[in-house]
Amino acid sequence: MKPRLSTLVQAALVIALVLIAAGIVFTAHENLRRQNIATGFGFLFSRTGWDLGASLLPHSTNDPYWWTFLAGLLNTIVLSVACIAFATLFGLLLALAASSGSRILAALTSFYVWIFRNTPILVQVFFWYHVTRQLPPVRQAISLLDVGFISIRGFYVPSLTLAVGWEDVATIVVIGIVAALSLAWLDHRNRARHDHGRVRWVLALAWIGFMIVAIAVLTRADVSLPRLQGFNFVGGTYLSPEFCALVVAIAAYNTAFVAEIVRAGIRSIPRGQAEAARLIGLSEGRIFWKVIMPQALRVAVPPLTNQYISIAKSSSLAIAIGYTDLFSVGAVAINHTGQSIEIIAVLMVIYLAISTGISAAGNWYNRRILARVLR
Amino acid sequence: MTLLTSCSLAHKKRSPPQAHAGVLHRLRTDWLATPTDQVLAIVLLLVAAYALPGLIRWAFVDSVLFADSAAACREASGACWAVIRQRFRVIAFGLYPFDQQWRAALALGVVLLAIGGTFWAGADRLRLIAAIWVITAAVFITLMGGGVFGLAPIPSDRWGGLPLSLYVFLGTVLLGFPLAIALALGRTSQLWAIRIFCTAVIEGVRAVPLLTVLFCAAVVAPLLVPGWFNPAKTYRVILAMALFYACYQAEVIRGGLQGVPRGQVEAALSLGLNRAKTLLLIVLPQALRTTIPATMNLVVVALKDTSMVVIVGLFDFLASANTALGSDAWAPFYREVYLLIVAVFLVLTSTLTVLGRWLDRGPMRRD
Repeated sequence: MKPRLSTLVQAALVIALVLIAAGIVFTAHENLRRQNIATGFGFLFSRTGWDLGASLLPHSTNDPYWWTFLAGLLNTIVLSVACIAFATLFGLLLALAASSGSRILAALTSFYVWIFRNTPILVQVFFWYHVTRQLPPVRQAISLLDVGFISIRGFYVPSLTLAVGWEDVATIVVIGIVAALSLAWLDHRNRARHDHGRVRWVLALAWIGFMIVAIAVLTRADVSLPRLQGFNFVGGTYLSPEFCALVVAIAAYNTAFVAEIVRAGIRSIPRGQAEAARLIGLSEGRIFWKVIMPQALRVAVPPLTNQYISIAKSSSLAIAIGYTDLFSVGAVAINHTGQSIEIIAVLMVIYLAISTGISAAGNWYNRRILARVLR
Repeated sequence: MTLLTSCSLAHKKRSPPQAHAGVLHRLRTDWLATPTDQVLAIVLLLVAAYALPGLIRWAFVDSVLFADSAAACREASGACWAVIRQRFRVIAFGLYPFDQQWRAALALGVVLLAIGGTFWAGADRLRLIAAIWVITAAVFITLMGGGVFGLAPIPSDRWGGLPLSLYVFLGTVLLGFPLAIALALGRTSQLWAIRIFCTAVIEGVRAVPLLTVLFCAAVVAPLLVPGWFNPAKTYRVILAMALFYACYQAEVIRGGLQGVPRGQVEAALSLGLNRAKTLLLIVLPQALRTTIPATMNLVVVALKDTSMVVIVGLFDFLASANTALGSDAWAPFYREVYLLIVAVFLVLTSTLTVLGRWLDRGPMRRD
């Protein structure tokens, strides 16, 4: 295109956009004034007047909106992390089953993938919600080895109470750093050994075990089991039925996607790799974990990152069955304040930040494994 | 060279493997080759032997096919298929006027016909496929909305059930696809203002959940536009779905555009085609054909995402099924109704997947 014409086209576009934006601002202002809706973000600091059904942060009707949004955000994060963890775990297992060479396992996994990937996630959310609605009442709760209980009011699971003061945290951190440094020194001395990788695993496990014991002793850790008392359970901790339905539904749906992504990654590795590794005498397990998987991850990490972003975004489906995640908190706030423009903007910015964060983490990890392979 | 030839000749003398070994033989060699597989098969058979009788009793023997009330179902221990018989019209068509529901059924038939037509057209005739679906959408809207040919007018907020789901789906893809092409071209444009604008739209929309975009359309949009320009909620939601779909589709098309060799453009320009013709006749057809698999994945996603409109209060297939269950009498029989929904979606998405593979075969075969 001729330079002058292209400048003209771009100028026209910019002017049109500015005009449309100005028009939108003007009409919005007019409409809001007519409907007596406040503008601006002042509402964030006024009290909500409504409580959250389930919140990990302490919340009451007197809390300001920003605190309520924060509680919703924490619920969203916990929900997303739980779904990502389960989807990754089961997706990996399914991918392993599908690439194990067994036709039966492959057929079973592809059946699972077909069912769960082709049914809309919202249908699955509603389905599991209905399942939780038909669970037995508290007095006839389904017992899981008398440690956990499943009832219509939710899942009761054991909880860990730690008596933690700031000085305990400081002690634990210091002990942890000292232990890690000494193990790192051992690791460094071992670097020449040919099975260095395995030694490193042992050292890492030793550190984790040591820290668990140290924390348990220092904080006088106490495991509390739920038990039936009167009409409800006491002790332990409680997961709402909505939360459980969401985790099951979102994790089951995304398990199918993760399985397909990892399977495609494994399939992308040429057969020659495994054959060459077999030829130099590696065991089947080592071939899989040391030769196939690292290369498969290179293929799988970018789409996995996208899948994790998609999981975080689909946590907003919580609104369908009334779990108080960020999005449903926002929807209730819109009903109460009417300030839909500001609230949707806040929600979008937060989700944008979450997506960008996951994407950045995925890219960082991707660069790291790429660097390791290229080194 | 001689060595190689003699080697392959030596191979040829061996008798060929049996071409059609029996089913049992294939079962043994393919499915039960290793001890692990054999153990697995036995375990599976045991599980089936344990679970199947109960399942069959639930689905067939003890099930209730005819019942006027939920009470009869409660007494039986099996499935309550009666709930589907009783509530079928609500599940399928939602709030659509009862005596006009033949029109909704006919509209569904037209969509099935169009799917068949796409199979028939094949990937070599992309323009014919586009024409089929545009005509289908027009017939669909005429049948459902009425107001012409003596059909009673029915506003879109009375539409419901499966036809509404398909309507949202058709609207999403038919409006979204041209928008996606525009966004993809814009993002690869040499004009920075257009490029930045398209990139911002694509990346912004892709980073937020579909529900926030739908809320924008359902709740925020009426505040932002003057009163004389305010389409019904059904249309606002469809526009939002189309935008959301287009932003994902645009990235797929951009990949396809990058896959077209530069030589193609240069050859077209040197033949004297202008830029627009090069794009329309040379670049886009190739880009679209190579992206058929990824496009069909997104189309399946778009079909599944139609269920999200429940959240902003449209009365689609899922919403009408939930309504049919109600909150009281029929609610315990959610399994039967959800089996129906899942079955319908599985049939639709599987058809689209097969359609995608069928279309993808076209250019391959021709090469």
